[in-house]
Amino acid sequence: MSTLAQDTHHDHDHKPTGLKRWFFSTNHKDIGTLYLIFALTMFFVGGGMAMIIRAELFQPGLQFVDPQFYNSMVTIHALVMIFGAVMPAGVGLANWMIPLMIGAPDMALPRMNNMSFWILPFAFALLLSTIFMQGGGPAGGWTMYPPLVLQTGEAFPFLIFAIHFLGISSIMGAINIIATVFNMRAPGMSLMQMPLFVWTWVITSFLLIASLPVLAGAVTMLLTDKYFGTSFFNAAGGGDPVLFQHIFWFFGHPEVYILALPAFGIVSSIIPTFSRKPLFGYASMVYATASIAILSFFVWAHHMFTVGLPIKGELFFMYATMLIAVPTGVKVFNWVATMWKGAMTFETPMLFAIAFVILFTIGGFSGLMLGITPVDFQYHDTYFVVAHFHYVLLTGAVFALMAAVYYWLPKWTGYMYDERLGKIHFWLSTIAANVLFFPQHFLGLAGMPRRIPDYNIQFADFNMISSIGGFAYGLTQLLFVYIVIKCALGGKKSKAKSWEGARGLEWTVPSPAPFHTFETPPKIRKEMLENG
Amino acid sequence: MKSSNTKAKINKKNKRLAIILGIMACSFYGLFVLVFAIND
Ligand code: HEM
Ligand SMILES: [Cu+2]
Repeated sequence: MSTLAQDTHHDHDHKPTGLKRWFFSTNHKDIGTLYLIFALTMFFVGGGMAMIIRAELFQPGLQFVDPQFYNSMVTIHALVMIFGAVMPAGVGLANWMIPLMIGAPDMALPRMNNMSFWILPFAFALLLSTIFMQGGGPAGGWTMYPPLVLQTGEAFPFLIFAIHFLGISSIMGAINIIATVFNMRAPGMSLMQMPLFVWTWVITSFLLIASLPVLAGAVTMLLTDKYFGTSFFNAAGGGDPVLFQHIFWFFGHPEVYILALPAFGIVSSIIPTFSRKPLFGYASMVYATASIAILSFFVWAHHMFTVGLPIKGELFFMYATMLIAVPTGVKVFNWVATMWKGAMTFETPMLFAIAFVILFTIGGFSGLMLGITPVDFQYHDTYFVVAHFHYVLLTGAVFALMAAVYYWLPKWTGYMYDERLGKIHFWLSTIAANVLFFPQHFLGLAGMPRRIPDYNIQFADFNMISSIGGFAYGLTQLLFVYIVIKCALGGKKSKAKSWEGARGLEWTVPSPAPFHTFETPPKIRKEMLENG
Repeated sequence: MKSSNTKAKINKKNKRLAIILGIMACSFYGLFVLVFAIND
């Protein structure tokens, strides 16, 4: 292991200390850590809001909060979870792992990397401060449809400004990832040998660059409509409010794949490790990911079936949506085929990964149902939708992120986490999440609308069950924090290769990974690669 | 050891790619707002 000796040697020089280390960091591992800590914090901020929502919905009638505040909780919960928790967690993992996976010394543009991160705390301080403003926080839903959103009080310009900041941060992050992967790979690492996690992040980065400017454009137009006398979305001035929905979802659907694709990448690393078999159908996985990304730009109006589109448009968007099931099916098939006849073991990362495959697929199936135009007239804006996107986002994206943390924690800290507690965390989370979200399918089919603080008593039982699941899920995540902190502080030492079946360059450097790695590019041998 | 020459070359390549991608993002934004502004 020539890399090993040279890495430890480098560890002792120039590692900045104190505040300077974190505020001015240009080190991909430190910035990755910052992203991950920030994401976890935001997960609890958004989770706290979810607890308020579920407390209010525990029983019919209004009990704790007034409806305006309830609506702002629903809106900010979503914005925080999407832009503050899931996306930054993904970027944090990308920062930590991509250079290690492709044998690069750092990200391509380290100073820009620092800026991408430090924009986030400011943007969220701005966004969260709106809760205390005259007129309350934004309450029209995270989709910000006009004309409703234009009724927002003083919070409005802050909301728009925060969204612009978040967009700029993510675009810079995406540029950095693309430059890193295209220019910084160790000699001998071809594109088609990269781990799937790297591939999914390259493709996600292109989605970010193509879709976030569209969101920025849309919210700029909202801003000028409100303050500068334009009428892009104002019917009285010759504009069209439905236009906003088209623009928003042209961003919005690719956005859901921005959340999902990195999760696919994570699971594609974990399942082979614990099945002790190479990933089945590597190339088809790459092509499927790319197809999903491209298709995701042609399905946006499945969010708008009920606005009165021309029938040919409805049919087009229905069929295009069905088409996405094909590459997604390829992926699920490949994960299952990887496990098939493998020597499987079920450590916590693998448990979360398997739960991901099953539960994400449930979310995919309800998504298919929603994509069928005529029946969506019944499901639209009901709890069925809420159940759907929480299966793909919580038991999908968030479960994959949890799997990733357990998988790479030994690499980051140098210690193994407590496996027994990890398994308890997994089982409690999985049971609670299903108790929380499965009954919402029934509520939706029975007609309970979303984004409403009160409901008819016929929905009482399922709501109570759902809330109990919600509180249980929320509490369980405290255990996760305990496990992570405990692992960071000590425990059983991890080897360089933390998992017996693991392959890939990240396992050739010591655990914890030294401050500087691969300053000299590694000499790649086939058996070191995840997909050799 | 990587010579500082190749390092400088990679840095230049990185910056060029970043600028191209940045311009791409900005023009997507500009295009969208412009198209609808003309329409208005
Ligand atoms: C702690 C677990 C969670 C609970 C208990 C929870 C609960 C809820 C509830 C009750 C709503 C409001 C439904 C409505 O009336 O429309 C909601 C909305 C939403 N949640 Fe969650 N959620 C959780 C985690 C997440 C995560 C991890 C994400 C994102 C990755 C997420 C994304 C959303 C989105 C996008 C909405 C829609 C907001 C809107 O309609 O404007 N949630 N959630
Ligand atoms: Cu969609």
